[in-house]
Amino acid sequence: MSREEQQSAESLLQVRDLVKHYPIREGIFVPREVGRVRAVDGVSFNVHESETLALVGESGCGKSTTGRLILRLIATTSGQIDFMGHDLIQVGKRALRTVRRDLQIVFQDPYASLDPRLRVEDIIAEPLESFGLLPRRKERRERVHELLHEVGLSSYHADRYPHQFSGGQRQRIGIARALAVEPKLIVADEPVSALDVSTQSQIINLMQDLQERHGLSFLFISHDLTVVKHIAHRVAVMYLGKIVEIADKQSLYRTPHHPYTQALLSAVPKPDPSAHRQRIILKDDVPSASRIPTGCRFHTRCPLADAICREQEPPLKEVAGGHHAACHFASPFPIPVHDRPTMPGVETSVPIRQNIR
Amino acid sequence: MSTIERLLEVHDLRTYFDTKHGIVQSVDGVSFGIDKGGCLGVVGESGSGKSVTALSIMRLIQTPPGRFASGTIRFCGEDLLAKPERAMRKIRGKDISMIFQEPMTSLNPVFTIGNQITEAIRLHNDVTLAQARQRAIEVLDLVGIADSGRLIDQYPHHLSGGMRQRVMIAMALSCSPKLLIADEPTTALDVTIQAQILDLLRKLRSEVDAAIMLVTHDLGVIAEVVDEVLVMYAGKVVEHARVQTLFDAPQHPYTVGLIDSIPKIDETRYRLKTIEGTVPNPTDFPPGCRFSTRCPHARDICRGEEPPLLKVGEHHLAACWKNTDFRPVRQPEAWGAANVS
Repeated sequence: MSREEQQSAESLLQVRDLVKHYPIREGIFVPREVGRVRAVDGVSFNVHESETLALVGESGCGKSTTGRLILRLIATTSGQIDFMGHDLIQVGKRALRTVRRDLQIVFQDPYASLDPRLRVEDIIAEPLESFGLLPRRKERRERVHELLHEVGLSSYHADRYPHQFSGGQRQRIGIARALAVEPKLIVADEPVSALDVSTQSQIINLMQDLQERHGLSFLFISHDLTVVKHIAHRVAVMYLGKIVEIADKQSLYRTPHHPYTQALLSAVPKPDPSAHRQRIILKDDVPSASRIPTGCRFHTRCPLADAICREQEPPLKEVAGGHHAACHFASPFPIPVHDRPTMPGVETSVPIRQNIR
Repeated sequence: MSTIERLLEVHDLRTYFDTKHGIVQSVDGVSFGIDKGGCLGVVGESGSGKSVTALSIMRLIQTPPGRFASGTIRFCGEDLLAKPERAMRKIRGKDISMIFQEPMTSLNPVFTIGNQITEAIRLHNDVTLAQARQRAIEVLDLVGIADSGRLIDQYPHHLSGGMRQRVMIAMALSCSPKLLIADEPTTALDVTIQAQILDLLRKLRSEVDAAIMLVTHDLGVIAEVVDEVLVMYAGKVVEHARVQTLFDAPQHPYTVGLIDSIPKIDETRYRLKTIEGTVPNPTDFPPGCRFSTRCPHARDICRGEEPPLLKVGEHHLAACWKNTDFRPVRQPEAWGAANVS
């Protein structure tokens, strides 16, 4: 635990046991709770300064909900969020406003997240006005122009309306708006998934440049493992409301310890027709978050599942330096994949258990 | 026209839309062919005309505003563009069938799965309800649905996204089509489900003798499934090659840019390469080569004259002046050669 504490001392954001449950109610006159959708079910992580932490997972894993909980856009059920010494769960409305200056968001859909009736200048200046920064109009205008240049647009774009821009350009405007108040942490919720391939790479590069220039931290929420590999420093893989594996990017991509991470990595289509394909194809779909399986929540789809997996929920334990995985059989390449290059010093052969053919 | 009879032969197809902002040349002079049992991928970004090409083959373009300004689409020797609507209906869903991107919205929520599949079967074949149901169960088995006998009586909302896409594929295969068009079949799905569907498509290639035309924006999906690729940009074919050739030695600067700009899972670069700028507005394409506004090699000829699709290698066509050393060519002999293979 001492290592954990030491780490948390330097981190910008600390999230502990974050939980968000949505009650399912039935009955018209006397609604009673008949179940719960466990959208986020005990998530802990830190984000350090000038770091990008990626939350990856498939739809319904709770990654976006986690992002929104951190911004307090929705109320938490339980848990702790500590941001630069402020307890975000306890903090009052007024204090929350000041904290929000350091905490901004970039949304997925650049078409829906910009007000179509405002000019770009007004969109970008809105957070400045809201926080009472730069009270003079002229100063605000200058700042807007500066921000437009910063995200690769020009001053003359300030007088245009959102519909006059392409998807990539709109996403740049969204980023400029988030940057306006000089935040410390930006939660980016699938910022490139609505964009075309060639514009996607432009936005990824832009985000990396901005991070370097301003020492920003990103919580980068995405379903796309290839994009995440490019932008993240550390990666947390989520499945059904829990983090199943969290590690440095290199460590996670090179030696994934959780069978789910492994399956995810192997499932990504490679743009190379001659690439070796040893794909782990998981059966069925992700179970519903209102009926989370007992024990390990992945056991219904896991090729390694054993009796213990159905009964005991595996804790997130450290498997290598800074690399945590929640699996009873966590080991490098728990599912035998033969044509993978053997990493030096890594034991790849695993005992074949009875239930794998 | 062509020496060997091909299953599908699209020649100089131009699908235009008349809008209040001007004429949108969504597909502008596209030629290609698909052999029996072949598998062609069409790749491009949004607005490249890849989906409109697919819909044109199905004749699912609403007219007006759409119209076919020129071209022929020969399917089994007959020109689909010359057929009356009534004849097209007999072909759609039987000889040519299509899978759409959104499995959520392409199924009718008020009918059972079985109802929807048997409807297609009975429309095109003279069979009894029991026979149709039997066939429906068969195709559901074919697409890897366990417990098809039970699932056939369920409604679409009972199924997950991946299952719905399987049902869509089953429906498309129910009348044993000669050509299956799949428009972004995995885009709306999660990675692990996408892997299941791609696996299924690959398996179907060997089990069903339908030719497949796969339309997608994802070069990864292209590399996994198809034999031959058509790269489209702003309504034009810019490159046409065998899949291995395309990834090993792309000839058109757009293809090169596209391949370079995708992040790859098994390599680490700090910065991604990008294609500068954005796709031009479809009502106002630049003169000459439509990629010239973003192309790092562009010269005067590129901005003035449109490059023809020329043979640049074995089974390999590209439309770039770079391949003729930026010199104009007389009517090239490869011009009519829509055929790569």
